[in-house]
Amino acid sequence: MTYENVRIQHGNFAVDRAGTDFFSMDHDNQRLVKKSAAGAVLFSFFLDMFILEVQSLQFDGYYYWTLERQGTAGFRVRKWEIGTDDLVRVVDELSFASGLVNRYDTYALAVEAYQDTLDNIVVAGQSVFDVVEGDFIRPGDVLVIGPSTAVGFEGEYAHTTVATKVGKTVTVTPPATISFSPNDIICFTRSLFVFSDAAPSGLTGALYKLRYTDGFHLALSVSNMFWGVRASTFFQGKVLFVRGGEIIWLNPDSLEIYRSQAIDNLDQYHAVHRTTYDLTGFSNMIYRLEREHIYWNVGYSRYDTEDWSPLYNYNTSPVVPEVYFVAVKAEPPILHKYVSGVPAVDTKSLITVTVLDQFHSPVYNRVVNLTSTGGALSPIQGTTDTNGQIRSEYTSNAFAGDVTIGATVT
Amino acid sequence: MVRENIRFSEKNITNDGTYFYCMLDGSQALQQKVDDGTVAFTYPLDTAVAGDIKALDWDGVYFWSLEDKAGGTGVVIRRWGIESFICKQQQKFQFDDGATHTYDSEAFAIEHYRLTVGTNINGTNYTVGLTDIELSDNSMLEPGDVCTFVRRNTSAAQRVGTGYVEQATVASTISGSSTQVRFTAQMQGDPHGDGKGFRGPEIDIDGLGGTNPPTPDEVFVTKYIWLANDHTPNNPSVPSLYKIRAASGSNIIQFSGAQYTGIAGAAFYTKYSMGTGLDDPLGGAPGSGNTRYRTTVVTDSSAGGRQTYILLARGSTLLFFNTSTNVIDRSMVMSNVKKDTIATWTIYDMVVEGLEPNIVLYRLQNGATYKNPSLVITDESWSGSYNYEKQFLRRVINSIAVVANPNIIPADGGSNSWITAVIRDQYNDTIPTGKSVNWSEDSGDVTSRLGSGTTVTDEFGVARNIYQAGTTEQDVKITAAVVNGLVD
Repeated sequence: MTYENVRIQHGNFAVDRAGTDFFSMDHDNQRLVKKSAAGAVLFSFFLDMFILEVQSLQFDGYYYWTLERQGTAGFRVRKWEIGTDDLVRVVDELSFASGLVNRYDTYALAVEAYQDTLDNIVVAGQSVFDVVEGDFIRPGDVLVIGPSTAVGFEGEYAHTTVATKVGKTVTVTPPATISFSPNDIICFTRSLFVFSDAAPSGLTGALYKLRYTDGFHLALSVSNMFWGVRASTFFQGKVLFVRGGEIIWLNPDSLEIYRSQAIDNLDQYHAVHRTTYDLTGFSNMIYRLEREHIYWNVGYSRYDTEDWSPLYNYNTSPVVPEVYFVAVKAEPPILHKYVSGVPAVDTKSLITVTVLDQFHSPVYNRVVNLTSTGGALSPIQGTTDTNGQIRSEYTSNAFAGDVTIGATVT
Repeated sequence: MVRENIRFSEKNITNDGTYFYCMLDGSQALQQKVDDGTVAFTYPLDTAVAGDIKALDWDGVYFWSLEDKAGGTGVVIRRWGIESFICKQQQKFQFDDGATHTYDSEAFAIEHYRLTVGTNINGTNYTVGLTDIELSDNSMLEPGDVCTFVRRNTSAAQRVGTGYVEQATVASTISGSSTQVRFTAQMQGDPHGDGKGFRGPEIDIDGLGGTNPPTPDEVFVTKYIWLANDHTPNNPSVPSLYKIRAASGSNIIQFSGAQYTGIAGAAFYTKYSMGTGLDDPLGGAPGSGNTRYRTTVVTDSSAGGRQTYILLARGSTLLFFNTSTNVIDRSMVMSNVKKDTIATWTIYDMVVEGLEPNIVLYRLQNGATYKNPSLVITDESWSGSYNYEKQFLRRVINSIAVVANPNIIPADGGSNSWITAVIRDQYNDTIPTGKSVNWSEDSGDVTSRLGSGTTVTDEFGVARNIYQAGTTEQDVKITAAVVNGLVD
């Protein structure tokens, strides 16, 4: 298949820290499989505990988190760690059973996880150090520092808890047990987010914010907006989930929408949104785990579907604003052909082209070229204004029939 | 498929002037598209809808949806607004089957008006601090109506819960004025960030002598829901048209009759004044931006008074129900007839868009009949999607009936036949005097045997000509063609 890439057997995946390899939980073989972006199996890490099918796999920089669905009866979240012996062990497990108040019908999990880096050398026994960012670390956060690149400690990790933080200076307890170099990575996790198709009071759709240590309900937001969510992740400080044709970005504290991002997940008929099974992100790219790729078939001048079933591969959605959408409007859309005797105004149409990025924001100062299969356009080129628009005037010719006005953005 | 365009997966459609929308009960989202089917955005619904959305409408601020009540024992009408990327339910009206009313509906229309801010006191054109506001028209306003002021060029996604809009309740209209309205409280909004409020017409805002005037800020008001019901109160066998107050959902009156049978698509249409000069979108340089300042409702005593209509699609006929007189005072033939000239494509929903005189009706269908590039009439059925077919409401030539009297004449080289062409528009109305008609015939003679190559229509919309017989017995086809297909 032309567009296949990671070739995963199950509907869960997560990208590693370097953004090069992908992990997926394979319940058929009870393993965590590591694959290259091209689909080659790089390694298999076997599990120390039996799992059901994993609906969502999340990586917080050190631990792997899985969501196992138990129908509408409940769900289970497990936290896994790859040991030095390459066995994957359950570190923690949280189970949630549907009851009279909370009813669970879940497929998607996001783990609120952050990264920072050490600003200076840290030596074993040191409890106060500076970090580069410092924006997210709070007292009480449990830090995983590593892998160390300090001589004599290469590849080792330290676990400690933040006691205080002033500016970018962090005091931890217990002190670091090993030494670290500047720019060694710090990871920490704060909350879990679980989407449910069921909700309290018989409403449809809910988002649960759970304390990652014990599953305590920190917050609940009930809305149909959270219904039907099959894929989510935590990326760039926000909770992301796929709903319809959008990736919606939520503020993890307020649970309010930060922004919404259009994605190209329509079927070949431009009618139905395909399912995204899991999300993961790295750098400025979001990877969507799906079972189809829709592409423009140049030979047939039509959209076609490459069906990946029974495997899953990723489609991508960049988060750097780019020209995503070009709308061409004719006003009026019906006009008279050019014939001597017809008033000129009845042979003209105002063409407005709007250029938007994937966040639905206007794209300014981009050159747009116009084409017509019928009459003339004036001008045939323009530069978008602050509303992302250019305008042109179409004048019909002697042709009677459908005319297509094309707009391309350079 | 050649004629596919919007590619909606469900049977409802509306338009905000730029984008088309469809509410998807499968995805529980409002989908926003452009006319080639490309998705611009989707807005998840914050409240679940029970099933298929039968109809969707936009009133300039809110979206309205029609669906069957769960279990099919009534209908539900919801009002939605887009806030922070989510389509949020603002109001829900549930109409339950009961002893008096039985509901079974596929179509509704929202009676709403698009006005603009007028020239306000002290010549400032601004609204902040005022209770008495000049609008382009106040003829439809009553005490208690809620007007939504909207800053010009505000997208449909920013018309609820943002600083670009302000709502004001009508206290009264000002006696003797057709434009002034008194609101219950002073206007406070600052949509332009200059502390002055909403803006009326600004002719020379850029100092270029009025060559690039912006559109005034807009004002929207929604009055009634018109529901095409297959049943009449206490008489389920007769269909009717319900008039429902949009603010409260209360039933006001029903108009019953067999003419409302099988209505699958409905839309509200207001004829606004056309304006001149700077109003003309093509009158100045591209980008003149003043295209929306056509906001005074036309009153025409010869055509049923105020020109506000509920358009109802029935078969291949579009019925015009005048909301002022509450009667159907015209109808229009639609181009949804299949190539067998008998069957019609079902219309699932409709939307009216554009500026006078070029108002366009978009009909959501699952197939279309068209002439292919070889001019062969072709049926195209869409199994995977619903698309629109568009048609002018503007008067255009729809039929030319050519009659020869007598239609058989001897081949004596001297006998004459009077030829008449009766020309009508899509409303079955005759056309005005003076329309040029070009004539041709296929006798094969070097010199046409028609009396004139071009004649003009008389006051009955009839063009006349004369055909003189040749000397060869043959069938002769005489063709009449109108040069300018636009009537007005």
